[in-house]
Amino acid sequence: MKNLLICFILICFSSSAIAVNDDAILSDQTPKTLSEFNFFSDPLRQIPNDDVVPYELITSLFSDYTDKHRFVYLPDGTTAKYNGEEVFNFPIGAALIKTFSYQNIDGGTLLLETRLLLNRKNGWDALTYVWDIEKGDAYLALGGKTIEVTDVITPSNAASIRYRAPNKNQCKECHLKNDVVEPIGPKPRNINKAISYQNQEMTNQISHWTTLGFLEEKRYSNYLMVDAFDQNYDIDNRARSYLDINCGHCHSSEGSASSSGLYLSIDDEEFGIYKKPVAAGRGSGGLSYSIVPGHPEESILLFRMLSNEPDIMMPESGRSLMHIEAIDLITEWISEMQ
Amino acid sequence: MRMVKRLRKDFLILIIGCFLALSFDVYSEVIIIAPSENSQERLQEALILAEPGDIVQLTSGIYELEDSLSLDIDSVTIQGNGHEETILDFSEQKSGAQGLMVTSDDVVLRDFAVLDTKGDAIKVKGSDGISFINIRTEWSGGPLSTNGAYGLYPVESKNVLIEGCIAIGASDAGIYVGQSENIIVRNSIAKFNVAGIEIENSYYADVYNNTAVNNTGGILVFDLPGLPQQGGHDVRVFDNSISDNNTDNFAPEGNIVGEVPRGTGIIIMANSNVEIFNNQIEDHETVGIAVVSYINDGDSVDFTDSGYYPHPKSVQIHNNAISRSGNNPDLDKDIASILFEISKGDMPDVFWDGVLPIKQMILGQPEEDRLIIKDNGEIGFAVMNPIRYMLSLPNQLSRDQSAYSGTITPLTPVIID
Repeated sequence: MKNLLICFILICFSSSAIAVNDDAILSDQTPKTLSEFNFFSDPLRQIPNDDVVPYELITSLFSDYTDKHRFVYLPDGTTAKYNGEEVFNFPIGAALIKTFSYQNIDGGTLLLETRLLLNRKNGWDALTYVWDIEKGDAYLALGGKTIEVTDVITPSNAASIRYRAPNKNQCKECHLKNDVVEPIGPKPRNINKAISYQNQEMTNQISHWTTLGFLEEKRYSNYLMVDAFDQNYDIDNRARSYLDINCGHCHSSEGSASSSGLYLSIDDEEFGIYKKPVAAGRGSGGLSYSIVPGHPEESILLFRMLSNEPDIMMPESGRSLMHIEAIDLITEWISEMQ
Repeated sequence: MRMVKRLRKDFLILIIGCFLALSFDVYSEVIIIAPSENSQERLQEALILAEPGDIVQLTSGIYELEDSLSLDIDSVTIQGNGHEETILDFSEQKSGAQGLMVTSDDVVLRDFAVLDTKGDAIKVKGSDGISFINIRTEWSGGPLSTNGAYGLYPVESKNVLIEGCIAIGASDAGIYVGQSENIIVRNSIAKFNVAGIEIENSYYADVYNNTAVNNTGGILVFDLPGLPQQGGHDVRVFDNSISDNNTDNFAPEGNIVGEVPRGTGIIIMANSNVEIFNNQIEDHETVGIAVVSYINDGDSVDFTDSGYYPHPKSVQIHNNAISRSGNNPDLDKDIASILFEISKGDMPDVFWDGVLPIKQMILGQPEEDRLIIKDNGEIGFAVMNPIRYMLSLPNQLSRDQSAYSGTITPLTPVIID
């Protein structure tokens, strides 16, 4: 009898510790701490709960060389629906979780922030929680936060990085599509990739999501999204993949950069070749076109990747360092263009 | 008697009750922010947590800001104590392409200044109902190519009111309304910008009672290809004082306003239904008014954009006072150097480049599309014959105004919803 009681208590305890807090996702009262959602069994090591599934994108948005830990959560028994080439239609109560971190020079992990996209009754809500590692939790930062980072390992060898956790409106800068907040990453073309789940053998994510019941069937994109930095692929595919995930969400007719007329999604046939600037100001760099085939040095697109000045650099927010490898990639791509 | 008294008392309570109930609805919260060590976070959080109907009140003083601010809640007013008293100072800005960004509807910005932003001062995108009242945007170092592009910058918006504002030092346009609809710009001052006031790819704009002085070009009405909204039309520019726009062009190269010659009062490019009247336009070293087509520069590839019409159409210029134009034209710019060449140095007050679709250049323009120049007093006028110019034939310029004296059809005033 006594053992039974202990068992019962243990089950109650363990299930309450493990289950994701659906009320926290759906409530109008946004939790002040990340721990209230119960997304992680070991938050500091970014070990998710059983119901929370890690995922990766084929090529990801550059964010000052941070490492990103992505997770998806769907409420029990719900599925996401295909929406053509666009982001899956996730059910109400779904959450997308992304933690940003650096590797310390002493080998440890420096957690910066965890961003959440919560699919609430009135649509997606974008929030960020900034980590206080000593307290073992992350705290809601509606107004964003500047984090001065030192002693981390990045290819840029920057001595210090002025890392910006975005405020709620800055989240929208990239995530607004036709005035509605939407995720960017989880599209069929971006997750069509094998990863290892809990040290098991590699499994394609679309297959795995289907097995889990997150998706009803396997369907693949018509566009070839490749790892932008895998030299085995064609340079054109690599460059277009990079621009799609780094630029295409704003530079579309439905995004924040709609008024520029420069559209950079993978399915845009005109993507800046001999495209004149409109309201670029100093961002034009004295150059006449976004892309001049064969001439990276005359292409505004590259000029803006090569700057860290707020009114020149692209993307406008989300980075304070240059993405050296991408600059090399785009330089090579434009050079080889006929 | 007692009954009456009691009734009266009840009535009074009822009245007070109604008043309280009403005031709850009408008077929403006023959130007061003062300059402090963490102005950035406090102000940004207030703009995020504001509810529709709230007023974010900025007390007097200098707010030192390092990152851009943004507002995305409908029906919020951000107000200061005056554009000399409440100063948002971005001279130490570290991130963000503008000072303040607004993306919501029915927003009022009033009585504050935005200084020395790295990029644009105030950008408003996709808003229905945006008012800028007594706002100042300024780059305090004077006209420099390192200044931000735009001062007041509503784009893809509807029902735009710019009233009593001052825009100084923008390296593109001080007041720039792009790809918008239903616009009033009035009682405002633009000085030491490249373009003072620019209405671009927009529909239904009234620009009146403004002062544009010491810019490179005073007021521009432009339409450009390759944009989601094009075919700019129905723009009225009237009762403005436009003078001494003779500041050297300091726009970064590559931008369309970089081609504006120093010393230009008004340029109308590729718009339809434009009425320019009752303006005082004087002391411009290149030209008072230029009416031109959008022409690709020589080294460029033709614009492939479909549905774009590069020529001005149905432009009416009447009852303006235009004087002292063209005594020191900016020969570095194409418009000015061509005009100087074909006018043999005798520069006009009003110039039309005469460029039309080939068929119309040979057979003539439809009556309703024709330029009208009327009742502007004694002005110098010139129109180019582009075919003769291209073929280096004689008589490349005509100064005969009489062919342009049609009947004025006034455009309707803009009404903001």
